[in-house]
Amino acid sequence: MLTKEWWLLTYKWLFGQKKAGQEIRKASYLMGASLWVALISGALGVGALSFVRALVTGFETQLALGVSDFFGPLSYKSGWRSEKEHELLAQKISYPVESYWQGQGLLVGPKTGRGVMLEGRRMWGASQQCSNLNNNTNEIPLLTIGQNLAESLGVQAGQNLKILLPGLLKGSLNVKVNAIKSFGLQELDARRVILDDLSLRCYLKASGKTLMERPGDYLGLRFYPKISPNDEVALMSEVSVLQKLIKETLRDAQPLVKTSKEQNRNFFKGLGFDRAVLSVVLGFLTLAACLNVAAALFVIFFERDKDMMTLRALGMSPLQMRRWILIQGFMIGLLGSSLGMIGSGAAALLFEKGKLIRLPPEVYNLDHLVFSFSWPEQLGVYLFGVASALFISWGVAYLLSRMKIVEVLGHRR
Amino acid sequence: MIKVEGLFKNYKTGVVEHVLRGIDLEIDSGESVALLGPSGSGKSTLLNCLGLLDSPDKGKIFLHGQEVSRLSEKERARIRLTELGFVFQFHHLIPELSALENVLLPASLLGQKPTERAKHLMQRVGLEEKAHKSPAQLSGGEQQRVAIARALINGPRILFTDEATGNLDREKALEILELLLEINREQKMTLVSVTHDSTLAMRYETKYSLQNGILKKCS
Repeated sequence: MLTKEWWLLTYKWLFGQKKAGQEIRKASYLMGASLWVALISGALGVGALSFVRALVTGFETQLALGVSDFFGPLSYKSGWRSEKEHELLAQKISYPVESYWQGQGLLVGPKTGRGVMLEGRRMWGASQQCSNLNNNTNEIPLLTIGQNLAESLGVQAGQNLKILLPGLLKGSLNVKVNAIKSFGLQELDARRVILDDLSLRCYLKASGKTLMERPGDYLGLRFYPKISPNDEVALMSEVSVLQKLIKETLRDAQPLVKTSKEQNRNFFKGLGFDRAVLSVVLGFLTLAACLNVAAALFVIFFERDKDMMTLRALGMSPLQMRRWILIQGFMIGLLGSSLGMIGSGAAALLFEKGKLIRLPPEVYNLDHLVFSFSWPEQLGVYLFGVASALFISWGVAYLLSRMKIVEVLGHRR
Repeated sequence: MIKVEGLFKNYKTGVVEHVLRGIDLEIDSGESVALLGPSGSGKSTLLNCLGLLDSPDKGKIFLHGQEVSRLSEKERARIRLTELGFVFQFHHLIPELSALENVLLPASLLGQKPTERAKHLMQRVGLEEKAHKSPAQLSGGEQQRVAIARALINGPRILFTDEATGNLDREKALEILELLLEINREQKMTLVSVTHDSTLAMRYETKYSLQNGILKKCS
């Protein structure tokens, strides 16, 4: 029954009326119309699902990149350890490693002042010595701030600001805005700043000042392996490697190494929940749209019931008939889903090129959304579309295969 | 061989209509049988029961010694596919397929593609030149010939026809009837035909008349 001939017949049966040179009958018209309704509604359902998944994945990927750019792909909170301990660990790692400490600060710019969460960072490596810093930067610590903060302070890259570090340093300090970055999230762009710890220490050393006492030099480490922040598998594998190394070097029995997403777990969990809810809602809509496949199959059957029942009379079993109707539903689902995927890709391209979706700037500091078509996810959407059509078709096939031949072919119909 | 014992069939359309009232019938292998009767007399109902398209309310049907009246739909479909052939008043050929593809359709239900046999059958019904034409390009008589070839593709032992010539003019009807009878004689295949045309029925070896649900053999 699932031979090439039957697939070909089904294709001709569904789409070949006009090609077969028939006069356009009422049946052809009704079948064609119901078929197109089924195809378009299926395509819309699958397309919407694919579009939304690509949108949310693109959004998540973009934010993950921004968040990872700020926090580093992997982080470890060592809990105020010495410079030497951190350096020792960093020396054993082949990719860039930064140590950090955190504190509250107040930045005063030309326009206004802002309270910020300050993160002092030091990259480990041979060049990271005061003697390697040039004279100009040796005079003043360097700061990296977010775009929103720079705008509200009224400062541009290369300009100086005053910073107060209560509990850490007496008096104020001149700092230079070395870079203005956008991390995507308003919370990062408006409230967080990165202070170059080496330039700060060199400056303090040169000016004879010292930081107030702290339990240790650094609070933790940020690691920068060449792994995409969205490649969870590779990241988790690297986490295991780092944990082992930290256990050996820093004697931490249970080192907690986190990915940037884990550090912003609430945000990404929320995003995951939104994605799941949207997928469920659109999944049901796709399923509802696939009901049109049922309508089309019913119309096709009842417009050509005598043809079909003649085949039953000639020996087609109820099971074979069910399979044939399933093939019809499968073809409609396959074509509808394909159209939906193509439509979704085209719409995404249009929206992305035209920068048509803008996000609220008070929450997300992204210029526009980028769509990300992850093939396993999109394959899942595609298969869901086809499976929905098949599921609906199975119900139709079951009902129609129970019809009695004489009810259709008999004179007493 | 077909044997029928005490066959009853009722229809419930508001009131109970007794269509077949205790039919007893025996048809030998290779025999040609015409079932005559006015419209609504129940001859098609009898044919449907004999051809396993419908189930009797009471009674037994034997095909080649096997009781078939209480089989499942799957088993009945299998018998229809391999043992029985049908030609209806309206051919119901698939318009998207060629005549030859239509003939091959029942064979494909068995997972076969006997193209040579199909071509031979097309030749037998006189349509070898038109095998690749679509049904719409054929006349009514030619379409019915294709339907006959389609009914014969799986080599049935019994061929049922229900008013197979009812939609054709006299000349074409006679041609089709001759063809059916020739096949009946050549292949020693049992032929059971429903017709209301007593002139055409004269050509059959055995004739039965059905009136008010009672079957009588005609002399």
